[in-house]
Amino acid sequence: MQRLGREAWQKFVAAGPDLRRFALALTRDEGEADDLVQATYERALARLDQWRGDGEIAAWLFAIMQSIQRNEWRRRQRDNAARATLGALSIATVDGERVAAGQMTLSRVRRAIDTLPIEQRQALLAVVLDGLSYQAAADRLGLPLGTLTSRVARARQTVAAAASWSVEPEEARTPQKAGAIVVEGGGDD
Amino acid sequence: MTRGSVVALDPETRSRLLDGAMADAEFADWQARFAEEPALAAAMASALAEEARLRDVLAGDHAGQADDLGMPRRGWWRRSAVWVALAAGFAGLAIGFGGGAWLAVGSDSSAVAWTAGLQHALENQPSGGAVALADLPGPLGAVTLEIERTYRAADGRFCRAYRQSVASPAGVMASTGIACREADGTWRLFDTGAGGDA
Repeated sequence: MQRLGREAWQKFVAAGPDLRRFALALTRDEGEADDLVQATYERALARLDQWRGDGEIAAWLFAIMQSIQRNEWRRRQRDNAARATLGALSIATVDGERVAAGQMTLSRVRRAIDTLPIEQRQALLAVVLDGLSYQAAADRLGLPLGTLTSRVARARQTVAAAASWSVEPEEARTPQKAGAIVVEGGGDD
Repeated sequence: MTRGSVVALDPETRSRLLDGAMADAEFADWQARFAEEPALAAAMASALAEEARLRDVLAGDHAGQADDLGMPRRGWWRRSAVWVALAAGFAGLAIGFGGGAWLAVGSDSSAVAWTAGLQHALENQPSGGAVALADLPGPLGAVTLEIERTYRAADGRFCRAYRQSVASPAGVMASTGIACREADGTWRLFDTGAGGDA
């Protein structure tokens, strides 16, 4: 069974933001877009042996996403055939809430990143933004490899936790309270 | 969908996997397990979806931070660093005309152009016609809008059923929605949740 090499895997992970933007364009809903990205990756991970390795892996991921979305749309078209005609007023309320909730998700991610302890943020940016290997990032920051590894993991944990808050329905209904939320960065290591 | 998988990768392993920071043998072993253990693949897929969001925000908000740290910028996805700043700037714009959440756009200026083009097309495009709204950078392509029909809603507003298509490397897909004209002349978008092959 074929496995992804290191370079292909990096492209596999790095395709995420583009997949997400495409999912947003398809669904116009942040929550649905994140679900669609996740479903795409899930299917791809289960079928890594089906990637032929002779093209861009991002294109393969896009094809998987479209396949999933196409099937989802077919199901929804059946469900929504009547609603889609003149139901604009009832849809408006739902749509407004969804948009508000989606905005909060990204603003929380942003705030979580901004409030990370500087040591964690430096480690995360060195690896994710600059593409350094863990060893190179550790060398650059003057850290033992284990400390660097731990800081990157903790930074991701904090950001993921902050993003997940937005799925709580009571917060989705009161987006004006988002500004009051404080992300606790916690200690280091 | 698979949010909230009960199988949890420990945070450090998950992070090392995202960065490919492990020996070849361990890396290959994990990939084999993803194929064989659906719950594990779901947990990793969740991590990858979170990572996509993280990189979206990082690339947009921290474009200058690498320089602050004296580090070189790398990674092909950084080429889109500016136009990835989608939520803070353009989401406000999107909600400004009533939702739709068309966040997957280019630079701020192309976001403005897209929004203006969408509003202009809804105001002026006859039913049945198609108009190009934007060309997205990166692997994405053209966005086109087709207005399928116009009607008057029960509350008196004019509404138009539209179909918007987006190109990706794997082909073109479309989604549908309804736009209704507000008293101030702006068109408010409503997602119908339906769509289909373009």
